[in-house]
Amino acid sequence: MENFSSSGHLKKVTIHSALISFLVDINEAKTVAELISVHSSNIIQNITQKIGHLSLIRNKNSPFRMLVAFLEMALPQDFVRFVPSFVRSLNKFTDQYYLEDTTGSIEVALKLYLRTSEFLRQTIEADEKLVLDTLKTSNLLRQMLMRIKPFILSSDKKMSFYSIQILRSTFPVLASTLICDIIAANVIF
Amino acid sequence: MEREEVINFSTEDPENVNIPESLAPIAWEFFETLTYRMKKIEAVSLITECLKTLAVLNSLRPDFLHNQRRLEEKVFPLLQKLIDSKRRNEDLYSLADIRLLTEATDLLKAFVTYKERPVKEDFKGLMNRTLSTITEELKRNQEHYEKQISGELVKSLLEKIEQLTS
Repeated sequence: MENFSSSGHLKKVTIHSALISFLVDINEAKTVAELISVHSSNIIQNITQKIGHLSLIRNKNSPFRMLVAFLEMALPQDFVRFVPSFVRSLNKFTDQYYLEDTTGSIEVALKLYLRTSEFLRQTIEADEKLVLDTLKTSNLLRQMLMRIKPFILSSDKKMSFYSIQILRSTFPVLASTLICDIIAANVIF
Repeated sequence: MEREEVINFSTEDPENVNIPESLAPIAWEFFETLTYRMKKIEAVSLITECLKTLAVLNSLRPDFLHNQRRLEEKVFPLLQKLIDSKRRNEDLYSLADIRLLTEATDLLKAFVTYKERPVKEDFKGLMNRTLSTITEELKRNQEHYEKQISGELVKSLLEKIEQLTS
């Protein structure tokens, strides 16, 4: 919140400090992946801030585009560790959008949920442990699905389309949790 | 000590959120919603999305659609309704319809070939009759479908139906 001016734009000082930190890292000859890794926390925070101020942002799609660009360059572990807090923030804003009914905001939230659940599905296929270790202490997917459920029956086809896709991409992750629990149960008993 | 434990209770603690069956309750919770969505037969691409979702569920937990004859009694009648409405109105299949029928055929194949739960003969008979209706329509207007839709897509669907019904 404090990083935004009254017009909703990021304050110059925030951009400057991020830029200086970025230039220092470039000087230390870090690779792109390393740079993204070091700055992943800032990037996620920036996306979250934008979601929280969607009504003030002219290009409502920008948080989604930022997330897509970030995931294209980042390593899975650079996002997976932030997924719980990211989804919690997204839930919080989605709950506000239900009440405020800001045009286009719910759609952006659905796209972000979809990209996040797709990310988890793809990551779990490659590294099951990485995702499960992060998610096992959280009822994250259920909280996410609870929010998208009404939109499956939405008269807006796009919203319905996104919601069904979100549901579908969570299935493999939920199934993996089950496999893990069965293994754990067999070991204990 | 007991009092302290109560105060420190958190829904985020692993022992409080360790749902032993994660996929099953979600599948239960959403199945009715998906089938309700599929009742709107004018939204063909959304029905296809629902079928894709059921196919993923079926690949992970094949028992789910077999239990309570969910596919036979809740999903299949919706497909029949769509096909019957096309036949009654003498409507040609659109590209979206062909995609939907391909998805449905794939799901039916995965469903009937699950060895642990053999499908009852009455359903197989019903399924074969419905699929032969599709084959008849595709062959009757084969030239149109090959030119206007996609020769490859139609050929692939016909092959899938033949494999399933033979």
